[in-house]
Amino acid sequence: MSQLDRRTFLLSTGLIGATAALAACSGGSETPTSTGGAPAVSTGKLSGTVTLTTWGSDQEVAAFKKIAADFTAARGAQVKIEVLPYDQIRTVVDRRLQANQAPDLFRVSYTDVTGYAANGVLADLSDHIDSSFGQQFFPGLWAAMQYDGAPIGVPHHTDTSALVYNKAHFAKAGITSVPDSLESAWTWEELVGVLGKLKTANPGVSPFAFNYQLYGAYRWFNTLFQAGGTVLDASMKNVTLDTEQAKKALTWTQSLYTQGLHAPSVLVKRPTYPDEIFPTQKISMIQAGDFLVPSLDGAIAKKFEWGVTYLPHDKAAATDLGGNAVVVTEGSPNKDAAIEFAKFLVTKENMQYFCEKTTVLPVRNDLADAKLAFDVKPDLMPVFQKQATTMPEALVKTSTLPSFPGINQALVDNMDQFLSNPSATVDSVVGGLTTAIQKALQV
Amino acid sequence: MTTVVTRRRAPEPPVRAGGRRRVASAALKAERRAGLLMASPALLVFTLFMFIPLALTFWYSLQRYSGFGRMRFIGLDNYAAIINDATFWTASLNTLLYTALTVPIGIVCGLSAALLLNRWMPARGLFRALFYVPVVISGVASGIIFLRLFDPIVGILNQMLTTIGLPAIDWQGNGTWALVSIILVSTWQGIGFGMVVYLAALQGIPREVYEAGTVDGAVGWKRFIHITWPLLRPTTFFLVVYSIIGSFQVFDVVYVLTRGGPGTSTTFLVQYAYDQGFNQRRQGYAAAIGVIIYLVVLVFTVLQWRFSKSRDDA
Repeated sequence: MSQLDRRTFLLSTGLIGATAALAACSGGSETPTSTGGAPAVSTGKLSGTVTLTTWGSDQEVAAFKKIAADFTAARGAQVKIEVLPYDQIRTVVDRRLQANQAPDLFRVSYTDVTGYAANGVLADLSDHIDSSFGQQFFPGLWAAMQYDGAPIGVPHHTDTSALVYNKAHFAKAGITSVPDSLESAWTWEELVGVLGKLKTANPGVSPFAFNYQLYGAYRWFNTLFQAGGTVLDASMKNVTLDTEQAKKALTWTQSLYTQGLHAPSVLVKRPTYPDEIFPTQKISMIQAGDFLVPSLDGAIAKKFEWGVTYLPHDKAAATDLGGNAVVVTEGSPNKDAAIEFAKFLVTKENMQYFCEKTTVLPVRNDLADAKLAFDVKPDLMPVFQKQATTMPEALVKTSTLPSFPGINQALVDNMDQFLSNPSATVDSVVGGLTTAIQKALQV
Repeated sequence: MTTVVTRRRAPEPPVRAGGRRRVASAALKAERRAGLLMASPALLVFTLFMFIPLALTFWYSLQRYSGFGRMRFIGLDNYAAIINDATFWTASLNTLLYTALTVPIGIVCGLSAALLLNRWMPARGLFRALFYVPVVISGVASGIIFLRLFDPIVGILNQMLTTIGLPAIDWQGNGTWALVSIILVSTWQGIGFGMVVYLAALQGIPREVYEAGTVDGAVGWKRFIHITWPLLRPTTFFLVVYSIIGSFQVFDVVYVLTRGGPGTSTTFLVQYAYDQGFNQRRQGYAAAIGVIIYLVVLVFTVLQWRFSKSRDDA
């Protein structure tokens, strides 16, 4: 891939670049660095044990453990990696916070981090970082780590969605080539044509499935932004779904279900994830995140050949902001060690190591142009990297709002209802979404 | 002499009565102490895990609370919001529908199993155990087993249906079939308990009643209608009330199988309270729903308690 593409995109979306205002928000003005002149960087030996609670694939867990071992060797403090199932981690962490038994650190998506900050449970990192610390990261993501002017976490990586397809099913349907650039990506109409061919050629197999489930429900916004729609207006206070673009996106999404082009049981509310079905060859093509490449590779093994191509576009190309941060809890009994480990996770070397092992994308400026040696399917990663350049700035801003968990939940409730009921009207779901999102914005 | 007797008798009653009172009082106190001591472990457990959570639930229901962080007193606002919450009413209707379907089905299946296994047959003990096994399997484990069976894409049930030429059923994407799948699993889980209770009741019916009935021509179906069913009425009442209470609390199977979807097709009250409390971080609102469920269940519990009491008194 052209490495310039990624930087150009990052510049255009505000995820990277010299945004002085955001850099100034990094807490530097209140850190000992700015007043004392010396960086507030701790390099001494640490003691005790801290726990990082996370979900993760085998590759992610192994990468976390390796970095934790390196941290112990370098700084002395032990790090325990606690792994929970993805769809339970939010509930479990919440309950532990409620019981004052929270982990020292936990992994959290960019879309959920400010929800925790708003409840005052995250540690303020100001006293532990120097003024230049935040400048290492893409400003858009570092801005997402700020709450009330204080840094409350470190951005760890980003990821995004593209189309993963079964080459054998495509060959059977006579589809011999797929788009090899963003510019040649299928239009919605072309994608429907492809799905129709897949349906005819592969009876008993669902042509397609989206990855809109539960905490990932917001990925439907890809479709919305592809149609030229938006979720909120520029003030980020008013819902903008009662538009022709939004209605077109909803109609098109529903049509995939009603025409039998989408797996009917893969909806929004249940943890029926398309990437778990794709290896069984019961679905020919799925929308999936790059972080799934290692687990797909392991599950598919040599059963069939598969590839990756670009998301379709309508008025525009668009994909979602995925990825996660690492935060330290305010109640951690060993906060110093926890914060130091959080910082250690996002050094250039460790971020690069984690990304290469787990096929996710880095969020440091000095890695934006780096050529990463991905461990698994390195040939597929350029597609994701290019696709990531289509993250709309408005979608990034929306995804990092404190109220975003409520917005996502509005999608879970309303889209599941809409897509499971062929007679549901677009106007009814627009009304339901608008009311629910407006309510979430007020919380 | 008379005087002597009078003298002897007159002072006795107060002394003896007072002694008895003291003895009785001491015995009563000792009994109370022993009772309290013996009940204290249960009291402690109930206080910790029932009375305090109940009081806290009511307290939370008057708050705006995410589960952690700041708690704000809002009075009865959560209850007022519930009245205008369309999803709450949908969940209530779904719960009533679920109750109306699962309770009779559970009663019929439990009674049928009991009647079948109350007579001699080979491996009767094994069959009784097999019927009872689902009762002791956790709801989540059962849910996961049936999740694999009902999976519309890779599930065994649909593979069997398509193998014999029948159309596959969308167990999770179609609201009606999703409800059917939950009813099937709940019934499977509940048959064993109904069977055991009915078996105990059947074995409590005196043989002489059946013999007298046989003399009067009550055999086969007539015997069931005129003897067995009327004598099982108290057991049936108990099971109906018990099943209604259970059906209002259904959660684990729903959580694992459908998460309340598609849409709100299988959203029941407890599932909705969980969703509000844990997914949407509205613990005050969820607590208010919990209080409402508690009151409904309380009505049925009192009903059952009164019935049992009047029967025992009789």
